[in-house]
Amino acid sequence: MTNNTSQLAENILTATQIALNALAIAQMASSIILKAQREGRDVSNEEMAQMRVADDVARATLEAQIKAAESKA
Amino acid sequence: MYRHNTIGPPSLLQNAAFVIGLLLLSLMLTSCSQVSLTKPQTTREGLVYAYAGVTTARNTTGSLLSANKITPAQARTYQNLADNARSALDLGDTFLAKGDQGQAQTHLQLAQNVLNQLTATLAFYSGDKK
Repeated sequence: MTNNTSQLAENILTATQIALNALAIAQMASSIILKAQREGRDVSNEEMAQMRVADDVARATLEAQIKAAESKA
Repeated sequence: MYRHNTIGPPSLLQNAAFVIGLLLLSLMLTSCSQVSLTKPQTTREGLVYAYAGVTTARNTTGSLLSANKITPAQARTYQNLADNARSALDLGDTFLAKGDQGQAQTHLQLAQNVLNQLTATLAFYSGDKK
């Protein structure tokens, strides 16, 4: 029962973490696009670069997580 | 030590609760989409959303790896798929800068196809149905 509850809590935590991360990135993209549309222009190179930097950070973070998991396995 | 399945398989109740949780969170995300997200009107705007999709796929992979729902080898594969999608987007943006709208759209579509497959795979493991 305790294990089941613990597993359930872990699952909910994982799902919440996934959803919050997705929401944060979606909001970032949306605010860039909304700003460009309100100003009657296309997305600028700087704004595009912001998205790339966010992905670079996510890539580096995942890479570190994979390496840590590989060393534990 | 890799902790996969050390606790035992989740019960039907656990899976149901997890799926309900995901459903609620999906509804929350959908609500947010309706309130604040806007449809892309240009190829560049499409690229912005696709970059966001790549980043989200990486974050989701990291969360699933931390929760021991996928193996490091799987995470490596998903990282590589995200890299492929990212490369296609970078190429699409380069074509767009050169004024080649057709090639830009083709590469955006290519990236979206990869992202759709990757997202479906990650959603499968998020539901703990392996």
